[in-house]
Amino acid sequence: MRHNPTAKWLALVGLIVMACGGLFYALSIRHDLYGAIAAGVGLLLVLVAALMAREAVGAFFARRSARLGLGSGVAILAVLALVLFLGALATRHHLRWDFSQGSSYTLSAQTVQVLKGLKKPVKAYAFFKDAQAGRAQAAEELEKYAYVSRQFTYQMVNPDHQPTLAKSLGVRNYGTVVLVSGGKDERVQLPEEQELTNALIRLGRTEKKKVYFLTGHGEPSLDGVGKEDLSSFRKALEASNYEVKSLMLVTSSQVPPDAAVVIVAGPEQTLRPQETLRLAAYQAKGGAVLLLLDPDSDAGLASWLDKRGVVIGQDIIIDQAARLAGLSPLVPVISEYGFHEITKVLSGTICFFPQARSVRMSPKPPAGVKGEELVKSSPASWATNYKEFLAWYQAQVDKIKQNQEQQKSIELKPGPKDTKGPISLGVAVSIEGKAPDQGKAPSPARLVVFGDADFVNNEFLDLGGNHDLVMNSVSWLAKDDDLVSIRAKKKTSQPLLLQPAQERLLFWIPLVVWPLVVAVIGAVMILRRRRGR
Amino acid sequence: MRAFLAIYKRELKAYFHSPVAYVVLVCFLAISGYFFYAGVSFYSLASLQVMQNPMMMELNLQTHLIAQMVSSGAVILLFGTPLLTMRLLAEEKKSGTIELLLSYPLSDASVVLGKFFAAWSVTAILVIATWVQLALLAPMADLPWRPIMVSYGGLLLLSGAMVAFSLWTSSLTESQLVAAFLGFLALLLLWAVGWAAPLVQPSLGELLKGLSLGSHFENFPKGLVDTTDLAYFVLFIGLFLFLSIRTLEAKRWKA
Repeated sequence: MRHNPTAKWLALVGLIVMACGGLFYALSIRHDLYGAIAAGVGLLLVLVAALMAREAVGAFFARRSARLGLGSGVAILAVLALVLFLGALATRHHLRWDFSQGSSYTLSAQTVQVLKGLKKPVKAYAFFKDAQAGRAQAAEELEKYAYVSRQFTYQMVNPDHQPTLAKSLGVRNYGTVVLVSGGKDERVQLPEEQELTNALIRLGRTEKKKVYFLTGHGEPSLDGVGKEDLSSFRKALEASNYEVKSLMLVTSSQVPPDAAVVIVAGPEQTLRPQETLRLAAYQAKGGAVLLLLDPDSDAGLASWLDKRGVVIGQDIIIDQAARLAGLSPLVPVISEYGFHEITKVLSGTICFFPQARSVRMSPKPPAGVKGEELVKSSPASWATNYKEFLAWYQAQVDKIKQNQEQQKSIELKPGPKDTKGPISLGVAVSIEGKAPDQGKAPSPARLVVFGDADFVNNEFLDLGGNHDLVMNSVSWLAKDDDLVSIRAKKKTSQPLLLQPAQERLLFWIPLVVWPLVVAVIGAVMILRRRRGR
Repeated sequence: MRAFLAIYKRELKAYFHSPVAYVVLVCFLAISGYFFYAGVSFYSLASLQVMQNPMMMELNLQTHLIAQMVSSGAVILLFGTPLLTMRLLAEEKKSGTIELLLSYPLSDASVVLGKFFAAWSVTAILVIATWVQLALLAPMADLPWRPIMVSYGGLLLLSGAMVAFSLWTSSLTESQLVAAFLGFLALLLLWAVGWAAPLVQPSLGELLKGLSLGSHFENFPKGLVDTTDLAYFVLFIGLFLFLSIRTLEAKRWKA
């Protein structure tokens, strides 16, 4: 083919295209058809090249070496194809044995069952910075899932490189894993087996749980886009596969039985007695309530809460630490979390509670009530009487206005009657057995109370850990019964402390003595051989 | 079989009568001894911290010591193997002894297999010689023997694949230097090609991982035995032995 350079190049390109196509086809990376088409096009190119240079080709094949060479070439191609085929086969159908310490690469039976039952493909996007702590562990965990089911695939994404993907999946923090399947998605903050498997279960659900917002007491609007409104919160709930509805409890005989959670967010007026009775009846049947109460109104629920072991303060929290964060001292900064399912992924993040009141567990809760304080303000904060503070604050503002001292800010100091921080701002309670108001509770009722409603409004929801805090609260309240609990693998360490003598031994023998011994043996062997000659 | 044994013995003797095997062996031992000592010192330091703060991390011998020893051993072998195999066929071609060898009533397969197993035996000796480190450590710590056996089994398979590959590069050329260099570069590429997987689109990434020596090796130090990896190494060794035989055979009809 020396005479025809075009044919030569054509043949070369054809061979490459054919090889790539064949490879793709064998491994079925893309749609099988593409590989086959590419291989066909390659073959065609080679044939065209052969036709263009048919004389040279004919002369070439007349030689004996060419015929032998061709035989060899065909054999090589056949073996190559066989190897690729067997390799692809071995990749698709494989067995694995786990000989690691504590079988740490084997997923629990529950997870395997969930994975085997996947009907639709699930893709996991893990958002980590390139060298972030926990990235390797997350990849390893996801790899275990991908290993069990071909329906499960994953991708490690650096959100700094792909901000649009991160944004479209609503990722706020590094270290988030989003599972996507059939237009639905689920977020996991802690990529461990229990969390991932539960996210898979939630993804597979067909029916949506219903969340009702109580209305009729001046609560902020669910649809409004103003700073004070809750449309972001509603959207976040819908993104997590909840159906959001509003509930006018005055005009309905009871809380709808399909309510997974009833949310009372920032009521300004007092609830009517029949409303609290209906809420209590709902709780008695194991219902879940999320109460968000601003300092200016307790909606007449103080005694209702008292019966459930929760004490709300008629106070407001002032936090000097907030000033350091560039915020008003009326926005307490929260960085201390209780040990609870709701807050376990929040350590290291900060939540902001604009104008909050204290909420704590009663020192002697009624029988059957178990509670946990979720969030606490900083030690630099204190709680002061709300009404007195309001009057004093207004007077200060008026004074500044009168004197036209624009620059001067109001000096805040804890008074002698004030309670010093840290102060609890939220509790999670489960009420078992006999409900305090009436009848028997079939399953434990759940109740989460925060001393603030503003932290979930459009202005503050996306700030710090606020979003995660309230979403975790809702999912804890919604009590996903079909979710599994997988005990984390026991992490055992094998410490090895070396004595100085042992350390010397481990240095000298492997690093010096043993190579020297081998060198001497080698020298002796070679010298003996030379002398023997 | 007799022909194979004859070649095997001849090559093995040649190794231990020339300085190359010893030089590689001594260097391999010294470097892996250094990695071992550095690993153990670090482990001991980390142990101290973990004992003070058990929640910090899970520290176990397999993941934080053995796996690293085996992985660094694999990287040293990447450099060492082409040096051990470079002369196997290239030298015979250069000195013309290959004609002599081919004129004997030996099949090409027995020549290639004899040379392959001789070189593989030498790399196996390299690997086994490092067990002095484990023997020293065994009385001081409770070693997890099952994953250790899997790790070193993987290292032996990997060394077989490296020997088969660089035997083939040795069959391609008359120059030992070219054979070693080619073998080393291509092995390095095959070792690392899987690293690119996260950077390219997922389907291509799967292909790169499927071809990579490193990606198929990484399960062994974890204590995992996967039939995919076993099949990969067996097919890899088989393919390059076959290619070596074919290249050797080509000498007959090209001449």
